[in-house]
Amino acid sequence: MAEVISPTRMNLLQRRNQLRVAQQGVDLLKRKRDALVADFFKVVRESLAARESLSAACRDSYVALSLAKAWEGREALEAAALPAGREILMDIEIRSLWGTRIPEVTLPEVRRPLLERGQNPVATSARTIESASNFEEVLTAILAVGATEVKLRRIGEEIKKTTRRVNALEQVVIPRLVSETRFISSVLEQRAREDVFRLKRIKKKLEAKKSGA
Amino acid sequence: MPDFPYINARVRAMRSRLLTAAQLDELLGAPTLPAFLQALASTPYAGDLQEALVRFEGVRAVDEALARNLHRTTRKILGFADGRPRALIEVVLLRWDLVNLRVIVRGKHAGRSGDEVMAALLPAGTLGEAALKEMVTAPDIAGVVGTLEAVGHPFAPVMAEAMAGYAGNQDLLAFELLLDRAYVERGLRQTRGRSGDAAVLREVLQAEIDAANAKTALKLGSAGGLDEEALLRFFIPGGVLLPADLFLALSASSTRASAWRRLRINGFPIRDLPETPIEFERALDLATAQALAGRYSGDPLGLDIVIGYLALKTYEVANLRLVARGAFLGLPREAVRREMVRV
Repeated sequence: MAEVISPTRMNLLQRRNQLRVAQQGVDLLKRKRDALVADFFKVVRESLAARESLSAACRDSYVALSLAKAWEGREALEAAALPAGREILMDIEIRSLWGTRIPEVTLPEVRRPLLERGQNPVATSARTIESASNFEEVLTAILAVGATEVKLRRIGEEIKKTTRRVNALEQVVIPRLVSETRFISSVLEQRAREDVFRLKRIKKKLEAKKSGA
Repeated sequence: MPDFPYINARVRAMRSRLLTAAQLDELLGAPTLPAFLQALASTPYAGDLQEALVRFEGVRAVDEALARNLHRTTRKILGFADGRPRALIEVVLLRWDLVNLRVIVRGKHAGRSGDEVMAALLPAGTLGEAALKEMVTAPDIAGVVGTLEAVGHPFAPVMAEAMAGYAGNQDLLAFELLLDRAYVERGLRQTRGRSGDAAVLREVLQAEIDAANAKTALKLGSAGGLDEEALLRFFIPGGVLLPADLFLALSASSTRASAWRRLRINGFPIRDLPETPIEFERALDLATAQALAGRYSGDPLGLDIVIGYLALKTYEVANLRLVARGAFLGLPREAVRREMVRV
């Protein structure tokens, strides 16, 4: 149900003020969206590169792992992996881009020297060591993909939200304010014309009365 | 009391069931894993493959079938030997016990589940499936040592000694190194004496120690950053071609070339030093495989036949695992052939 508007001068000033603010808001939001889109494409390029390096690392690593498994046996390889588990901690810093909180992940060094993996060099073959080292690279690539895709999702969500706001302002709020301003102006103008007309009639009557007297 | 002439006659009969070069080529020619499985089903591995395919699928089923077959083979050889020949064969099979104990200890150290550890075991050594299961279900490493003592396994005393150190510092690497040393020390102790069989086994063990030390030296050399004391921690004494000073020289890049020349003079089986540890291992594995398989045509009344047969069988299993993976991943046939050890 449409809101009933009192066609007063105060409401007209208020609507004009709101219209100016809304137009400034659209302008600001469009600039924010442009900045976010520029950042989005930069992160898309990073993300594609990270995906590509992940695919390349996986391709080489799985072949090397298969060869190691064939030579050492699944048992020996699984045994080598048993004590190698660990926790990997990452530094995540929150950057603000036009008020949007975007996580910047600092990738930790995942590759470990032979002895830090807990593997016994006497009992672990060079193929297994190479395979473990390859998969540490795969892990690094997975973390890089994760870091860029989280950023990408955040920026993408923010672009969608900003676009929705711009559309709402441009297609709903501003047209409503414009039509309300027009309505109030036309009513006020009509009233002014009626006042002028009424005053002219009164003046005429007063003049006729004076000349008759 | 069966002696080597009887054992060797049985082993020769088993040798006839190893795959021929033509059969291996046929398997290598399989374009896909299902085609490989079909071809493997017409070899002596058919029974094991059928049983494995009930529980697993794909490459995992092949792994299971080959492990089961290897296990049955070693149990069969042990089954028709006793006395001194059995003791010598057990020394050969102890390497699988060493692998299994390492898996169990690592699993306990890392707090892995019993199923996970059990899946990584290969019961091809002297420890049977029941003993291994008992150890896997033990709550901690002390429980594993207790089970080993109960079955009277030769590694029980050294495991107890290693356990005492481990209880204090939780150093798994020290534990494993003690076990590795105990394996060769026991093997060399068992092969003292002048008998031909003991000498054969001693030679095999010493070659194994030299190979392991050479591989370790190059791996540690690639890792870098270790002082002499730290490096010597990984040296296994008991070899003949590679003493401790040569081990140290081989692990340092500045002295590697001269150490390699000395090693060649000592009679090390590889001519040139390959560039990477993987290439070195591939070349050394091939030389070792050829030397071990060559023993099959050694003394017909001695331990050589058993050692040669076990080497042929082990490399056949490794080659089949490789071919299965090649078929699964669609690797070029020539690439798979290059990785294979043909003896």
